[in-house]
Amino acid sequence: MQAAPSTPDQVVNTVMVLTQAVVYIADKINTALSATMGQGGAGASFSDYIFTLFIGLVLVAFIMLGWETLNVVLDAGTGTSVQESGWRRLFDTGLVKKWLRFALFTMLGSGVLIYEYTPDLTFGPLRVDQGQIQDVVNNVGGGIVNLVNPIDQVHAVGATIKGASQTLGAYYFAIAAQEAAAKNQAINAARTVWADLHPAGTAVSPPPGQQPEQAGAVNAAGAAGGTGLASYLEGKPPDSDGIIVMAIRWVASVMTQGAVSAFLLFMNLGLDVMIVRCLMFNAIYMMMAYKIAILILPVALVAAYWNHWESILRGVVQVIIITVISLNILADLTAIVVSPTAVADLCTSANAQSQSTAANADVVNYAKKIYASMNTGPMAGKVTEAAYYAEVGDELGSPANAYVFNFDALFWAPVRVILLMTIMVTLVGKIATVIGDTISGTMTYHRG
Amino acid sequence: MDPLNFFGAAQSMMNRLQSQILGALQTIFPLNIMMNLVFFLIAGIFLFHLVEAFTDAGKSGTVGDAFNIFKDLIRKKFLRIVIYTMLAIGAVLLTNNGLSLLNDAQNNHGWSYVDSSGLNPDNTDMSRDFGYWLISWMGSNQLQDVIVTNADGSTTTLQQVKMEAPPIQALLNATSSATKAIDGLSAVQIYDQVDDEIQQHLGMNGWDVGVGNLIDLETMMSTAVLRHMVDGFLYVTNRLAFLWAQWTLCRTLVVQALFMQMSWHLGLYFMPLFILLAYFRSTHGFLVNLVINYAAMVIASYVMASIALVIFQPATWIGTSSGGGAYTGGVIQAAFSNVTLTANSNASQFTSGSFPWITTTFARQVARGQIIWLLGAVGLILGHVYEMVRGVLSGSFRSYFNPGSADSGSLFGGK
Repeated sequence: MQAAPSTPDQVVNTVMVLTQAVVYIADKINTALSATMGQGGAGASFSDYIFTLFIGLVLVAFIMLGWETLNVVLDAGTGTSVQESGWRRLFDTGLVKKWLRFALFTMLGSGVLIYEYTPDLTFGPLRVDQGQIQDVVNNVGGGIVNLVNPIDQVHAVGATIKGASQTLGAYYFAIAAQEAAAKNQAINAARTVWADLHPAGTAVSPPPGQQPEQAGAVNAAGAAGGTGLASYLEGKPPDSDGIIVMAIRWVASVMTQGAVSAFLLFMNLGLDVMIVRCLMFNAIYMMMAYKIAILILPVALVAAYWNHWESILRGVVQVIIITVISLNILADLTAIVVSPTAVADLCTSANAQSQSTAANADVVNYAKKIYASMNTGPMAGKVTEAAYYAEVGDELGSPANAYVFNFDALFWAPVRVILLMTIMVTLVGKIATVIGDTISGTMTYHRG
Repeated sequence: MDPLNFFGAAQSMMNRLQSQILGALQTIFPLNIMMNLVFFLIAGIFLFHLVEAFTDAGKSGTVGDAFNIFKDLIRKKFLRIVIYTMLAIGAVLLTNNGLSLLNDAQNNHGWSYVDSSGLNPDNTDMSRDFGYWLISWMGSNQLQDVIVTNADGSTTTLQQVKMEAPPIQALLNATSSATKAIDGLSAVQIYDQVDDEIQQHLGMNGWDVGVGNLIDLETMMSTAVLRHMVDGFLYVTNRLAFLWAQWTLCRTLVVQALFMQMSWHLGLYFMPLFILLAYFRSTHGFLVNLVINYAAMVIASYVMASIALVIFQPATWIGTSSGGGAYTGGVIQAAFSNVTLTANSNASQFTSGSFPWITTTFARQVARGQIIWLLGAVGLILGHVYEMVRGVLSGSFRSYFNPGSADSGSLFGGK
């Protein structure tokens, strides 16, 4: 397994560019939503609607309860026994419970209304401003405010993606995969050449003037079928062809690489879009849903006084819970999936690397040439295995040098990495839905 | 050359469409039919309970029982019928015909409650009238003759307008503003701004010929080949992306505005029937559904309107001019604000024709494409607002925000 490059290209980092733009837009949306709570467009404002609905519901409930209470009080004297009459009937008819429910729901609704819609309120001598409420919430709830502040979570997801992609570079996904696969291919080729030159289990006969114990000693006869080291190492690299063939090969390779690069470029773009759409958009949607649920909450609280409207409150509360849980988990999972470590694992895993154990013939030919170039002068016969592998890895294990002949490493490896990343990102994007379904009891939706 | 202006065309079409549909609705399903339906239902309900009472009375054992049955018929059931009927007829008058009553009052008294800044109910005694108050909050299906006052105080001829509920009016205003804003935001401006950010802010001058390359024949040839091939491809794709962005925004904003407006007015039209149907428990769902939809539309309209007004200003995207062709603030600048862009010390990374070379050279085009994609994607976010609100209200929220599915329809605006 090759280590992922530590200094990938710092070209324009499009994941980061998009993430920063999306976070900026999320802030704008958050501001707009907060403003909507307090004021509206033409005519009656949004808060006018909410206030009217709230007060209307409270009034209807109050009138209903008053009428019911009046009936009970008027009927109090009609009982035939002590048990059937008097104030005891107030309890027997459940009126006290109803009044308590009414008072509780109205108080909760008013509290949310004050907190969410009106920054400063004056109730006679008692002045309540949002700062005081915030202090109370902070003191009582500790970190709860931070936990349920959705825009903070959006920023957290954005910061995670940004931090990771700052380290990675936008094209890391492709380049690192190419590099890992190219190195893998190069080392495979080097192993092939080295194994040809040093067959396992056979006695090594040193070339003239070399000692058998020397590390770089080779079995030229065994390696090249008895034709000798020089002819074995000669090989037939691409540039040994005639000038016309070379030109055709060169143009074809440039064109191929151009097409491959363009394709990978767009796959990267697709991946960037996928990352932003799955991770950032989910976060924004959840933030918006949270805000919308908060908009509805005061009215939903009062409406829940009537049993048949209770489902609205349940829906609203579910959304708030789902959002808080999902956003936190989404932020955590984003950190895992788009972390440099995760991408490095993908790039260097067995899935992403070239699966070929037999080295590409061109790479082998280049590896032979490298051996020949190393095995000259004072280094003749002294090339060590490690040094040879390192040299082949350096020269052939980079996308910049390997592009001419290594389609497997340059195309298929990054394609596999990008597809794997897509799956992982999609998986994280699904989390919110799964959490929502878990809470609402509709997990069967995901079966199969 | 910018792509086709979808917005202006679509909004113009929207205006024609809604007038036509509402006009046709009044023609094919006029108010007298609605009133007849309401009275038919009332009579049906009344008869049903009367027959029921007679049947029950016939089965009862005593005169007292029979008396009590008829007493309950009058006290409970007829009372409910009267209440529902009053509400239904009130709804017919207020939302479907109410403004004509107002119009009479206005014509008789010479009131001018409409000026150039829009409806101004404070100018009339009717503003204190409950009916007017309700109409001003709910809107009306009735086309209304209004006197439009010029800025110099002179009055022009009467114009026919519909009295829109504030949320719908806010949405229409926002759509109109967003339309103008998008018109002002051209592809060229976005391209130039992104180029400026990359070249000036990030110091990318000269990168498009590669860094660390020997300028030899091979480099020049491959540069030419790749530039023409990839750059051309990216350029066309960017143009298509801008077209897609405009189309998405147009589809989302204009169509949603139209959809909500139509739903609102259709709801107003059929509300009297739904009120009466709610008398029966089995058809109670119609009214509940209507009320939930009204609530959802109020919220969604305000939310969409406020977001659209903020998001689709050119300044939001390209910032405000700080002189000399420079802009500060905006999405594009925010996007590039923290991007670290350093020349890689490993010059071999930029060997002509290598993948890093191409990505470096054409990163600008990709960044353009991304920003433009985002422009369209914001339209998708807006498109989800109504679904989200409806989901929150009905408790079926789970499937309303899941852009994470890997199918192409989801990626490019499906769902």
